[in-house]
Amino acid sequence: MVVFENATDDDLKLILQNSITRSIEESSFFFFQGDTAEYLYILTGGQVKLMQSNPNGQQVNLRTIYPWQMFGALGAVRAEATYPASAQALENCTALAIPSKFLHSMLETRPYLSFDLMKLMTSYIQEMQARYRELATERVEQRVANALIRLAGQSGIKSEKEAGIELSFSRQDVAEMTGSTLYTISRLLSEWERQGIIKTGREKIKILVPHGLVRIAEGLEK
Amino acid sequence: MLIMNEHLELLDMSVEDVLKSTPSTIKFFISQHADCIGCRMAHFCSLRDVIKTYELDEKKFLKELSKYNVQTTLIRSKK
Repeated sequence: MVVFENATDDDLKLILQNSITRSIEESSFFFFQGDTAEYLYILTGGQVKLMQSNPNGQQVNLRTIYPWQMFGALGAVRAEATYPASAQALENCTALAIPSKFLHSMLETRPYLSFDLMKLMTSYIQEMQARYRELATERVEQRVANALIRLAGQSGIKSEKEAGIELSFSRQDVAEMTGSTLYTISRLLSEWERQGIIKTGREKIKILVPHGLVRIAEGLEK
Repeated sequence: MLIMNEHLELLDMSVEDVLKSTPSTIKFFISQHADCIGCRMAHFCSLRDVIKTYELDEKKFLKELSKYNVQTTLIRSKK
């Protein structure tokens, strides 16, 4: 257990003496977003989902907690903190609940505990950064549509005879331009071709309905 | 020299050309509830495409557009 790996036996005993165990049934909650962060938890059995809702009720799953991981620790660091997320049991769970105020007082006198908690938090931040980066690049259809539009603006040729804007790029080119895979690009372009928005050929992509592509690029279409 | 029907010429003009020749048409496109202003495809879309895309009434479209006095860019000549 990362946070307590440097703890002395006495310290561990002290913590356990001041903690309670909680058992939560599947689908029930340990705490809700916005509740006062009275306890921090160490999961001892089961799995927990941390999730956040926005004012519109949209839900985001932040993290899955596995046994021996800590969650809800914000209250130990900042007094009067509220839980930034809700914790829902994915199956029947047991956890050790440590009063935030108690751990806070321990942090003041035990530097190792502060450092270990910081290590936990920085690894969490790194995980979040990676996921944010992935999310920012996840709407691949938008990126690809934008790439085609950009290409059209730079080097697209509108033929007089047939309708459409011709781009002399292959699917592989587009995959490399968008940091995507040939598989994903092929899937997307095939779908757009099926919808009549583009037409593909060998080393060529022709935009038939520019408006359709713009709508995808702006995230207005699936 | 054969001067093409002016209405036909107008419909074949790209949104970009229309806007360039007659900037006041910004208001026109907005009034038609078309998203053409700022669209990166304006170079490639003709007015005919706009009518088709937004399912507009061609007659009403042209009637409204005539208020803006757009200068058609080309008069094609045929011998």
